[in-house]
Amino acid sequence: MLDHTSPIYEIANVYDETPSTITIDFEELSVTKICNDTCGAPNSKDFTVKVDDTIIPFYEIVASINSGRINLQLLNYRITYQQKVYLSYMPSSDMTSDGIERRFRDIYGNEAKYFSNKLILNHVFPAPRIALVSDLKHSVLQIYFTGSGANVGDLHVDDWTVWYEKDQRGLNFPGYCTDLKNNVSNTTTVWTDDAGETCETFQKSKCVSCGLQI
Amino acid sequence: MSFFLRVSIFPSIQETQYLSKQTYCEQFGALIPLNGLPIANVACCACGGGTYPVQLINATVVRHPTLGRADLFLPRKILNGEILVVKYTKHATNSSRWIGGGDGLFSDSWDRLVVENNVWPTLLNSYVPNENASIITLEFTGRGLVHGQR
Repeated sequence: MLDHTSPIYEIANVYDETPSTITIDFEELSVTKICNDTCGAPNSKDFTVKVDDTIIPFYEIVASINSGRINLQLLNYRITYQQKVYLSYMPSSDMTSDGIERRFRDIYGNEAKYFSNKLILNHVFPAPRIALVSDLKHSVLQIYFTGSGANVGDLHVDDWTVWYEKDQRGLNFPGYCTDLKNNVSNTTTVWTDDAGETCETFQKSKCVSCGLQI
Repeated sequence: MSFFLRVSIFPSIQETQYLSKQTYCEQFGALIPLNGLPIANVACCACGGGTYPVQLINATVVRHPTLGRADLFLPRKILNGEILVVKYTKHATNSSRWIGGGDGLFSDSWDRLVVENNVWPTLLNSYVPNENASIITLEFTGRGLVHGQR
């Protein structure tokens, strides 16, 4: 059956595995109707990609057809968590053979329709933006994330590993043991175990046996 | 005989602050990470350094509409100049432990994130050297002072 309907924009996605690639789906009877070899060669000059308030230059985008979808690969940009990405497509008005080739179509020759300012679905995960220790809280390591940041999670210390690589003078850090602070009275109590060992003796001898080399 | 033993062996215990596994670790149990290390020595004395991990006191999400973050509580204060690295391993099955936004997306694991140390230099000690009594030397944390005017 001959189909005279043009491919119409349906949805666009960007996924965490490929944060530099926008995938555009069209409303079609078959996802492969925009075929790979004979259905045109989309050109990045016909697309506008706006990330938040920044327009990505067309020469930093590569457009291609893959399994009935249009892929836009951003050469120098990675989309991050919660960024708003808007997409427009305006078919070329160039009537030369090159211009016609740019207007991609389905296997019946129906050219894809233009679309404007479509908000794509952003599936990119939150990622750490910066980890810091501020001068206000010397014993708290703060980790900030992309987007509006981390707001969910019952965190567990076993999932986090922190180590010192250099001491305050820039030398390799030998490590040491610390008496834990009593947060009730905000004092540090010198600890001694049943065998009379202090943290100092523990540092010298015991930490190796418990898996922490000093 | 028994009187002699009490005097000669145990007097120091009564004079010094003695914290047994029961009194210390149970009293401050909430501070101690559930890291699977059952020995009181390990739990009460936080060790770390070199390429070996620091024992963390706690980890929590600080919710904020635009700058939500994770806080890791370290066993001691960080000094100016120290370089720390943090690694996150997303738990394989327990999704309640995952860290993420409110929209159902969660952060993946990462292996190495160098911590920005914004702790200022602080005065470590000051002294007048014996060989030159007209100079006061001030020593700060970190890698030395390179800016400033007399």
